[in-house]
Amino acid sequence: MEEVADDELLRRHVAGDSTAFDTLLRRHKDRLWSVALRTTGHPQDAEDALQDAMLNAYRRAGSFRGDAAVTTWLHRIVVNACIDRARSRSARPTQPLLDASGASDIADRRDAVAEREAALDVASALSQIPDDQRAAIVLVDIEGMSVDEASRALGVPSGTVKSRCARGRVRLAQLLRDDAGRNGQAPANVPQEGPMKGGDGT
Amino acid sequence: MSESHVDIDVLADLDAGLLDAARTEDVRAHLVSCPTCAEQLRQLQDVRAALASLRDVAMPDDVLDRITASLAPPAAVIPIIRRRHRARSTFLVAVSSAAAIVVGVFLGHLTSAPTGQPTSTDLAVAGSGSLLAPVTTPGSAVGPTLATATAVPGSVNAPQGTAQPSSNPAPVNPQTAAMPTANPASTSAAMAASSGSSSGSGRGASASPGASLSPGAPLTSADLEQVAKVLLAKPAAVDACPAFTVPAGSTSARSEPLPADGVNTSLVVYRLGNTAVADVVAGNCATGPTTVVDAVRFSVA
Repeated sequence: MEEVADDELLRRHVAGDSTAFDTLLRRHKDRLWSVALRTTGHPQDAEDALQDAMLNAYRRAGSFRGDAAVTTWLHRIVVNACIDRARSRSARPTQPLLDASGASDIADRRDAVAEREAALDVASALSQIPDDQRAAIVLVDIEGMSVDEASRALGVPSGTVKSRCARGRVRLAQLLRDDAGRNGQAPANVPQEGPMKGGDGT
Repeated sequence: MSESHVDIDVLADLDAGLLDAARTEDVRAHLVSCPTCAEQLRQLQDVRAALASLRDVAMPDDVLDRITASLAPPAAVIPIIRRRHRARSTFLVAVSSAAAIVVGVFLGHLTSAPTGQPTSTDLAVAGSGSLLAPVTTPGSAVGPTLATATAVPGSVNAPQGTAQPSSNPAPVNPQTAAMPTANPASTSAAMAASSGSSSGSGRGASASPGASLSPGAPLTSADLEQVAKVLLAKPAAVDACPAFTVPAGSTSARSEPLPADGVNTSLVVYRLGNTAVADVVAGNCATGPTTVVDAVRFSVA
């Protein structure tokens, strides 16, 4: 049986098909969950944000205009829900992705992937960079969106997406280097006295 | 340029394609002769590679279950208007459009008080979940819940900041019946309340869709607006209740029969300028006379 396209599922949902949205959600659940998990940096926040986002998408499906992919539209809603939640959240410090649902998957993968340590470090370092930068990096570097797609998903110009990614990568590189330094494992060939400077300006 | 190091932010800009051609050339020329900066750039590229190697994390089943449950038609049965009525019946109204959009309009019970005092009609509308994608067919499973919900006047929560119950038998006052236009903030608040999406132990406790029509849950103003829009979007045709005359100046009149319990009732929707009006009309719609027994009004763009 041929798979129904995303936009067709959305149309059917708007037309009253009670299973269409569920099909859409199940098709993209892991990707949306990953985006929410990494953008919020916390499983509970990710779930809350994703629930907000899916309700929003469910109810506003009629406003989807088809000028972007359904997945881009969904990502935009999810990322915005995550950012809203981060803003409304009190000053609770962001916790690394080391607990509950995200942890086991990452841990499992670590055994299988050669860059086990690096992958984990990146995932946890990601939670320590500014929200704007993290959202851009999640979409572009992790989810593999083009800058243009991410621009539409985030509702900011392409140049801003690039800039946020650039600043975020600098911050991540610094965090990873600092982490390596703390553990007494100076990474090979990494200059310890380079021209690095703080670069989390957005 | 070749003497001093390049700032890592510049290297990141280079890597992200943010530098103009001339600057790009300068920096690349420097990189050829500066291992330190070349290593910095490599680190940035390593970060990208590490990020790209992160794969999607599977959504836990319980998370999926809770999110799916929250998408069930929201528990949204509330009184919009209470007016006296002499009939005694429970109305369960389902208006189906040709586009298979089901608008759940539930008329609460019409109780005849033995003392002869005015009784009330609760007009409640199902949440927009059933407007967009009916997960359940309003039917017998809903009826008892609804009847229970409306059996005790005042037991059902009033909508947040929307219409207030009115026992005035006079023609509906737009001020008391008017629903504000959709407000994202209040809508999301109501959504959160109805879906239990706020964090806490109560999350995910949603029952089956059929049981979700419970008393006390709020209805968003957006829900009401959509009821009118769905009906107004259909071709104008006062075919279900020709004996009812819509007010002069109204447009887009449309009527739908309400499968009521022993009472001839129709829902007539029309526009008066920027106001959409949904009148619940009782009586003989073919020959008259007819009476407006309930109405909701809300502004439309």
